[in-house]
Amino acid sequence: MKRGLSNVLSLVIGSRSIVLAHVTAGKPNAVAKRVGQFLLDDANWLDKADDSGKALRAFLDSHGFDATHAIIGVPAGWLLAQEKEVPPTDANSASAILRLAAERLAMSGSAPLVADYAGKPSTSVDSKVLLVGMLRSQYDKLEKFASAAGLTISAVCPTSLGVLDTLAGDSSLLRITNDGAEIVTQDAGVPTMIRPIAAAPQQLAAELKRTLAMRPGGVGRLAIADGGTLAGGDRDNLLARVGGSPRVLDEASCPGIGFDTAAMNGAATGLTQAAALPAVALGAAAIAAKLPVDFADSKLAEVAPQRFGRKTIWAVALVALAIIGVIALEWTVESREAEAADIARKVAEISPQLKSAKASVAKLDFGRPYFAPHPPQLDCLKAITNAFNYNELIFADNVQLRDTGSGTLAGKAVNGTLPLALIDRMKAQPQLSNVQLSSLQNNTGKEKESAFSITFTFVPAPFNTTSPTTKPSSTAAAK
Amino acid sequence: MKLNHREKMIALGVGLILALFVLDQLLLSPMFVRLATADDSIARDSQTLEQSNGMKRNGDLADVRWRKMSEGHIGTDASAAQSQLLNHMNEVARNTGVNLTSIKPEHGEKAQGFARTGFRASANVTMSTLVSFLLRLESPDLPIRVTDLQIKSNKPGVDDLTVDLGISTIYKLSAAEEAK
Repeated sequence: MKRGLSNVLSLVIGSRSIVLAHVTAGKPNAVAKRVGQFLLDDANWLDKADDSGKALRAFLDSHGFDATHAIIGVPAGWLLAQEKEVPPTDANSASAILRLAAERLAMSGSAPLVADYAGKPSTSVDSKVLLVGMLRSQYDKLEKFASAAGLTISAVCPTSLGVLDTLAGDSSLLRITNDGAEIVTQDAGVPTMIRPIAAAPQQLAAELKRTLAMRPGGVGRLAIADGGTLAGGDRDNLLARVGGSPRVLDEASCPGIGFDTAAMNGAATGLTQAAALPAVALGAAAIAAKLPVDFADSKLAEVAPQRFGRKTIWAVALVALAIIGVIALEWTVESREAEAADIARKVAEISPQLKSAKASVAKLDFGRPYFAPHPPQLDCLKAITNAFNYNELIFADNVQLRDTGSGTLAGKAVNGTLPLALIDRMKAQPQLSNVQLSSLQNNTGKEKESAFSITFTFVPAPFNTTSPTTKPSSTAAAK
Repeated sequence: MKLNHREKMIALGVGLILALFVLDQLLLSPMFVRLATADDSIARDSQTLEQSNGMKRNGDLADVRWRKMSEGHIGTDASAAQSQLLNHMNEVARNTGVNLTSIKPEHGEKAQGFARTGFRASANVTMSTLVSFLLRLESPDLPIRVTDLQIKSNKPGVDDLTVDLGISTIYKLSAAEEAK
């Protein structure tokens, strides 16, 4: 039984008519939005499934039935049913056992069946289920009929079994229709029998009593769903003769369903609410996913074995992951190689231009001193002059300055310590470096003076000569 | 040969390890080597490219500066450059009161497409006349450089100096001269 249905068209098939009910999910009850009766003029209507289906489609359109998911209730006369005992086992093994039983059932009828079972096998104790089958050929015709009517079959279930869900407690059900009657018995909530009762209304009570007498619990509680075929006197007579505690099934005794006030507008041929009740109950059971048997989604259908095992799937996933990883790595490597090649190409392109760039820089370095605003030797003389202390008896008598920056300062002092102090002050000058005493001779000459010689390197301040015009004019410099 | 579950697991494990080893040897390790090589190459060449771009920018800048600096101020004739420098020296000496006692021509080296030429001059000066001379020596129309300078005191305690200095200028070499 497919879950998630909320809007179904229930078709209860009889020999001369199909009772229709459009049932929708509601809170708390499923509600019949529209009911109707499609009359079957031809007794062989199912053999002419295409034509019958098209006629049904026309009926549905003309009576405002717009649901497309069909729940088909089939009569007990179409069924083969057998109660089966299942040993304690899991659902899969029980299905396998019952599948074999269904095949034997089919062989007894010499025709293929579609089968399902009602009940739930137990894993701890023996359990009983009702194995139910219908002819495969008939099922196929139903499919064809529904298809021609533009309906999608959601479930196919014996009507009386489908109605069971609406019964409160452990009741058996007698369903009386224009075509006859059918009985369903259940024990502990599990259907134990479904069969048609072929008897005239006058003999119905006797036949029914005989059937129920074979039941272990006797008549027990019995619900009678009468589609309005029995006259009031006949029904009372039947209730009295059957014994036990029979009751008539009506809307009030079916708490799980309700009727929309407009639902009966679809009635075409004097359909009563009681006659529509099984169709509504079937639809409500389908919406609640409580159909005990569903030939369209049988519990006996063999589960197709998985083509690939779990381990195989994991292995394939891991291999695929590894392949993706390797491809990603290769892509990364190639993109990095392409990037490296691109940079190498740019380096190769720029290399020839470097020679001329170096030559330009060398030319500027060579020529720039010729455009200095004033000779750097002047700055050097200023730095040396700043290092002298005019209070000290020391003087220079020879200064040599070369354009490489090296220079020599020679002079005389009254003692040997003054040149050393001069060296210290020269070292403090930022533009003078490598200041070293080259020679020092004490007590020389008549005056007993100290003669000294100091070497140094002059570092001219950088000048930003961008144009020869930045040179000061001779006049300005003189000022 | 029928293997039990444990043997199958061991065989599977060994097979997996072998497969990983082969995969590593044939595929992964070479790829990682290529990746490392490419990364090294990118790092090295990027640095080279950055330096090269910097050098090229410096070269372009040097070109522009040198053009602005030298445009119209550097001649191509050695004797013209020398006489221009001599005239300028004499003029500056005259204007600053410096008595040039000797002037001797000097020829310098060639470099960067230029040749150096100039004079070695001696003069008796005071400190102030020397400074004036040096300040006015620079000319906006002539590239001049004082290559070396020696100042001697003639008498201790008296501002009486003898200066000996080298002064040079440059001129542009012709293609033929540069090739020599």
